[in-house]
Amino acid sequence: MSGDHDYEHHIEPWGPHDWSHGAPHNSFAPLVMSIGFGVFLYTFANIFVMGELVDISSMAGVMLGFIIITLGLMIWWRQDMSFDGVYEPKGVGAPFRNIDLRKVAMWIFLMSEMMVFTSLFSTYIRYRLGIQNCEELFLSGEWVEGTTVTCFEPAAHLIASSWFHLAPGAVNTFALIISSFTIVLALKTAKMSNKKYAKKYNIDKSDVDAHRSRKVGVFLGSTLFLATLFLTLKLIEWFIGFPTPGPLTELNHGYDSIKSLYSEGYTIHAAAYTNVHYDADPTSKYFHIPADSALAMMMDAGTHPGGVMMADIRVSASTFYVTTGTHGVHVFAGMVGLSYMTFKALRGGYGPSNAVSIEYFGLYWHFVDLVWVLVFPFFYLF
Amino acid sequence: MSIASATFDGLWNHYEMWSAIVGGFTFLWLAHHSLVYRSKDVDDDWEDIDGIEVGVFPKHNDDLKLELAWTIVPFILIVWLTYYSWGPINEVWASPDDPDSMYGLECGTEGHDPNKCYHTIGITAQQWFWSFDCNGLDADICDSSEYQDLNGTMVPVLKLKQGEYFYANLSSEDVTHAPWFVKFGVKEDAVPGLHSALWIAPTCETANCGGDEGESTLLLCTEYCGDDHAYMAAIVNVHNN
Amino acid sequence: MMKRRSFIQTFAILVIVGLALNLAPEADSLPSGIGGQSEKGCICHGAIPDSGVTPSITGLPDTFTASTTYTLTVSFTGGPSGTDANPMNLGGFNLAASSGTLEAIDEWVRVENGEAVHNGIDDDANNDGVDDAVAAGGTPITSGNDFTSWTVNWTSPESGSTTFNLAVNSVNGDGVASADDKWNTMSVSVSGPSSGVAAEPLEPADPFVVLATLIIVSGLLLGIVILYTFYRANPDGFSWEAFAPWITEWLTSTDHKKVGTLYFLAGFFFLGVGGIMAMLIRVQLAVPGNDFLTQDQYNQFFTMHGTVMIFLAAMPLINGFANWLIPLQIGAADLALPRINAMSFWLQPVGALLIFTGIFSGAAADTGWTGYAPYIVSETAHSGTTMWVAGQIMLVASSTLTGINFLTTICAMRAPTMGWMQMPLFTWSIFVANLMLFISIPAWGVGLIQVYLDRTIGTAFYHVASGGDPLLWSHLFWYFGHPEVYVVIVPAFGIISEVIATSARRSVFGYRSMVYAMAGIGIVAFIVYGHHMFTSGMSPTLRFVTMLTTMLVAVPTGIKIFNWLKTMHKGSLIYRTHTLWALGFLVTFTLGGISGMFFPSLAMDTHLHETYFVVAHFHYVFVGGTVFGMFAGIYYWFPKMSGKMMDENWGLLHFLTAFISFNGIFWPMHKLGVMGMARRHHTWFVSVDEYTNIPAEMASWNLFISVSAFLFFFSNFILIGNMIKTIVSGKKAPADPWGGWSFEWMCTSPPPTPSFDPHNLPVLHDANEYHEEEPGKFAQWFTGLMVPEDDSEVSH
Repeated sequence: MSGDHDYEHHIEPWGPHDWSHGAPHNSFAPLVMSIGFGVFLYTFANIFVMGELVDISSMAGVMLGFIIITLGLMIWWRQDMSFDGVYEPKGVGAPFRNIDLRKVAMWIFLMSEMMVFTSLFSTYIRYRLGIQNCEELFLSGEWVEGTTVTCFEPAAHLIASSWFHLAPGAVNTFALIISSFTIVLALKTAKMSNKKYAKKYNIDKSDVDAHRSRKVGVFLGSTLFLATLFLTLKLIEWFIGFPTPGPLTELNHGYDSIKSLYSEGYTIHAAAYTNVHYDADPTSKYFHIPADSALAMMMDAGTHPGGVMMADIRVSASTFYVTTGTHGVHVFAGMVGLSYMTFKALRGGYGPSNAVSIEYFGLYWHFVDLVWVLVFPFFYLF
Repeated sequence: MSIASATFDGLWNHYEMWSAIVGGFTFLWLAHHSLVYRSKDVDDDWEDIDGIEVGVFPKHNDDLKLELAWTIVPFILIVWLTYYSWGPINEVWASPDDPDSMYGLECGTEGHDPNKCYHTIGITAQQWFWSFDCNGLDADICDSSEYQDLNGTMVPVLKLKQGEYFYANLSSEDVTHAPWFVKFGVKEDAVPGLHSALWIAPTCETANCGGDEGESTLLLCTEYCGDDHAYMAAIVNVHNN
Repeated sequence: MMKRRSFIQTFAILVIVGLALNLAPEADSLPSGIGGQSEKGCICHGAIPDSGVTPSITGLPDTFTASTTYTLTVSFTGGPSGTDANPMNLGGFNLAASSGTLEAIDEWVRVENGEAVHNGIDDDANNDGVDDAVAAGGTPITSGNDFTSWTVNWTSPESGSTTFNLAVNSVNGDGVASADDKWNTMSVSVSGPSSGVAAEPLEPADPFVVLATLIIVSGLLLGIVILYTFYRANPDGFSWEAFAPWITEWLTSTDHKKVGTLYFLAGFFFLGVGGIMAMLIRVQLAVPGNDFLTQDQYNQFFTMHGTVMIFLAAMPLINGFANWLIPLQIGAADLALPRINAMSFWLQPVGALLIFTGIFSGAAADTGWTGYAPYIVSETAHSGTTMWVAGQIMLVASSTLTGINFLTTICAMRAPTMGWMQMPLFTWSIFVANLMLFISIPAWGVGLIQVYLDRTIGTAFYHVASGGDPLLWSHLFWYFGHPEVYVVIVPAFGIISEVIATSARRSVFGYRSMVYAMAGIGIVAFIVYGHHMFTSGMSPTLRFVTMLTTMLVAVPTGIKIFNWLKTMHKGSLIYRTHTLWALGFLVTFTLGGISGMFFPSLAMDTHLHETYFVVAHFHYVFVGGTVFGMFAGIYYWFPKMSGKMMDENWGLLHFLTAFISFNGIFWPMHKLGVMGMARRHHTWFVSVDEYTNIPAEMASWNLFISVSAFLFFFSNFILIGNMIKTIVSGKKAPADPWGGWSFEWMCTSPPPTPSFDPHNLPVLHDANEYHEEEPGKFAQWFTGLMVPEDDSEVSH
């Protein structure tokens, strides 16, 4: 701790804060953000009821909720903008003496995050192991055509069936790993002492600040970009799909596009996931075809041998979308934080004295990366 | 006084005895100390044994032997209580395939002991009804064809013969329910999509089991299941004709 | 003398109000009146009316003439009637007229208790199994239900208007009452000549209206108290211009003491709201067959009562204590993350609003506080359930933030001179409680999100037909739910340790074993939760294991009780109000602990599960433990917080009335539960002659319980009154009024802001000889991890 703290009471509920005086500060951010979360949860529950779209006009309310949350964040950031690390509260009790409180808090927070994902994985494991696998059921032959059976269809069965299907997930994995690297670069750059920095980049000492701001901004911006890429690819994989033109068509078993999981019928409402078939040989490989494909139509018309097992895969789809979705929400939260940090960095907000802010965000970011490393094999590969 | 089954009463009386001993000991101690050691001095004049002073962690006031004593003695007591509660568990969870259990094998199956065998019945719950399935047993052993008016609602009557054992397979059509045979002291959840079962050993309170009409008690739903939960009842009639 | 008389007056008024509220509903509800019929149909075969069945009455005039006989035709269409191969057995009806007389015309109809019913297979009024007509020596009449329409005569009264309630039953003819049979009701009113006096009967009050009104009135009172407090803060310089910054200060404050006060306000407000619900529940249960609350309302009230009391009253009150005292006790300027702290508070009232949206729309959650799947995701659960879940998600977020804050604060912000084993026991209790909560609550949060998504976008986590597992919810819930009940009780342990020791003027006996016992409870909490699922159909092995672990809980709890008792040994016990509450706590908590020992005994639990024995047990622990502990805490620390001494005489009155009435409520419940009274039931069956689950002489204790409940409810207003009186005109409090040793007694009352100067943190001395000990291997390893950042690169 350095600087002179007079600990006078400063009422600046809308910010910006004068951090040279230490705590406490007043803030409207908690109240406003809480109201925003409330509005969001309330209106979102009005749009859908039990899986049915009942009131799309409540979407306006959801937007309002987001706007209020953003307003709250703006207040928070406005107050934080001036934080230059001069007043960094440190631990005084053993064994955390001289450790930044924010660091302790971040590790403790990650402990609870770990429990969140543990619970999601417990749900997944319980259902994956507890409900008969669709493929096993199919091969056992203990099903009747036209009757829906409940079974577990791992998304990986669909995704890992083709390299093209796997592509977005694979790219995403690398995107996140690289983003973990870029955030470390941002930290390294921000943390370097002015002297060392000037020497390394061979610039005049007076230019260091501007140079550093740009560089930290670029690294944080790259992290933000990679995170955005991650979410975009995820949405493409879930809802949009992508074309495989020209020679790719040939590699893709003759199909000119990779359909999204949604249009393949892998949805939480799929009470009848009909598109599973085999050809004349009952021991032949089991795979999934889109409902409107030529093959499916031929089978429907009886001009192609094989059978169709109708499966209720709502539970499988729920675990897949909600677990990967929760991870996606964490990435999104990271993006929100990163956009502010990039902004602050470009304004010259990060230097050696408060580079730890990037480190502590980085802890969270590495955790999100680590979770993906677990989610990817469990939900995409096997 | 008999509350529910003999099993329950046995456990209950034993626990009540220990409760009285532990509670009596604690309350006597509490009463003694709170009367004997009450302050006789004026507010600011008392003997400071432990060096209580603001900003000073006071002198330790402990005695390892005593602390160990009231760790170990209650531990022994709960070990005893656990042991005591252990035996009757078999009555709750006997395996239907175990010939050595107190319920034996199903009556009519190969190798069953006619003096010690059970009948299988079915209990199905749905919002907000019970239906009983006697699996074609003789009407004098199990009968579920009657309905009676209970507070303006028709509820099914399950007639069971005293002295027989019943293994009830539970199932639910919608949400979780739980049949509670109030006077037999047993209940178990009927969870949709999950198999659960309940052993029933019908007992009577009176010696001749209510004469020709038998003794009737209630069966209540004891897992909250929605609007009519409280009135989701049935009548259980135990007879020995 | 004056005081004595006012006490008697208050007492008399309380008794009269209690009795009146209990008797009032009995006066206007009949055991088998029209109210019963319109609710359940005639001797009906289904639980809910089916709109596919259309009843009708013809032959009614628009306005009737006095004392005239009309022939009415009652009929219905729709339903399964006639679908069976049996062309007979079509249906039945029940017609009730609020005035006038009904008369049967032919043998297909009979009049019973003034109501007309079809004369069919149900012709056995005394349930003796013999057809009444046969018993009377005639031939059996079994064909009144072979029709879909019947005729009946009605003779009109002199004046007024008459309401006809008709219930019809359309049966499928298989001769068995089942869910396939459908029924419906209708009601129609006909007015007659005016008698000059419009004797409109009073509408019975709608409990929702009562509750909403009471909540709004309480809110207004709260507002007035807040305004009054503002006024009192500076009576001379009162101006409305000063009000805006004053209220802004409270809305935006991040000071731990202010946030703590906000927690107290919210906690007390919801304690009152939850109490009002409890009173409405007790009115309903005072007499058998009561219909003061409809079943539907009753289900919502017990759900909201549980939710409100645990999450919106007990938890905020504990957080109020923790916020106020943790920084003061460990010698820190504030909490580690003040803004996050404000955030955890403000999430709560907003979450509470979401939970209450159901109450205000009349369709609150009706799932029980446990919200068991699959009911919670079924369409039969009320629409308010979604909002209940949404509100709980916000409370989970709040608790998580609270956990981060307190764990960080206690780990890293203890004054440098205060070791782990020198922390006051209240700080230890908050540490253990938050650690438990923090590790367990994400599981529930995830479960809630799954349910929220199931109920909104339609995922299928608990959709049984798609393979969803209801027990998964129970596991996620109780993995959190059991630690949660310890989260609520452990801080009370902390408070009692402080209060008993200070009152006895001794150091608490066995400080170290107290800490280990709390830590032991914290660990065991995670492996015992299966005892909530002893009858759930869960794997017997799991149930058996949790039976063993649950038994273990008694050991650390016993250590604590005996340590408290031993603390008084050779002490100099001074009787203050907080001492009384602490001794009261020892009595009620010990009783609650002993009754808890009955549950792990599995073969006994199959009877006790979901009965009033459980209700009695957890109220002895929650109210007799947590709430009594917090009352002790309030009397103990209120002078520190407000700077004023509380009135001890009022305190004594509060203790006596509340302690006695509390035991009056919950002690009889033990026996009721064992005899067969099931919890979460709208009423009890003692009114049915032959088939009773509780003997009548036992059941009448319910009235006693209800009266006691009202006394308990009102006695707590003595505390509120005492607090207000103290703030307004209390004697000034010294820094250390009771003779405690920890840091909070070092600062002035009320404490300054920041609570301690961060450059000059307080120093803790130790009356014990201090031996420097080598840190153990684990401590060395951990400290090694904690090497501060290498700052060599940083230029200052």
